[in-house]
Amino acid sequence: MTTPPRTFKHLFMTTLATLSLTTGCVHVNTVSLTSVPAERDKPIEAQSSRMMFFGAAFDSDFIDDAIDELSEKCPQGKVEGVLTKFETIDYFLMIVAKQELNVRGYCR
Amino acid sequence: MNPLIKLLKQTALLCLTLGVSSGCVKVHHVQLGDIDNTAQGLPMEIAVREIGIDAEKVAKTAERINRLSNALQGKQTRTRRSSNIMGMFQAGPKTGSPIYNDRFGEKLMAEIHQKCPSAKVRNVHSIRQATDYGDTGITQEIVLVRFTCLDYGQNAP
Repeated sequence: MTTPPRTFKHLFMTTLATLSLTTGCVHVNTVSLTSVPAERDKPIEAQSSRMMFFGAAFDSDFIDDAIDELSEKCPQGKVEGVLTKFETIDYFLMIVAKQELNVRGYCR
Repeated sequence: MNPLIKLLKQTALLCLTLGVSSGCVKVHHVQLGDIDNTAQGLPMEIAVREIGIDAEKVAKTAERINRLSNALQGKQTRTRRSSNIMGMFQAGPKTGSPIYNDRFGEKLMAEIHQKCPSAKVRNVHSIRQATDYGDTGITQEIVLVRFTCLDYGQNAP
């Protein structure tokens, strides 16, 4: 039986490490939608996120960032048809996790 | 009393105090409503809270302290899996820790009316979150509602 070449082992290990660090399991916490308007010619979106180590986080201020960003994209107008998607992504043995808030809507 | 046990008890008390005074924030749900930037009103925030108790976690912590205390005194410990039994009563899907008053969220409507008597509210965003005090097994289950109150009357700042 022949042993695989050393470079193949390195490549395999590197790929495995990269995949485990960059991909994660996604848990969808919330999806909500408000009434969608007839005029949908100006879609806008905003996103904010926070990283957590061992699930530790001490505030929820990142939510305000998404709201402010969406609001700023539609000054003096109304944002309707707001789709809120809030999800948690677990990376590498659940030591590192990311909570992400995606908001989309239509500016009128 | 054995000085080591005394020190252990003091350390446990310190850890418990630290655990209770600071906690991790867990966000469970976020729901944003329509945003009306034309509305001239007063931004307000209301939070209703309820104490959540994770009986399984409480039992586990008690078991750990008991085991450690017995080991220091040189006693034989017969581990009782009370935490497993407690866990059976709190099984199933859940958001946050179990609470003993499932109507705490209903106070929101009354509080919105109290803070904004006109009840003309816009930009309603609700957040369901919890503050977790670690191994104490105690959490604070929170429903947070942010909104803009129109015609806020006497509640002006």
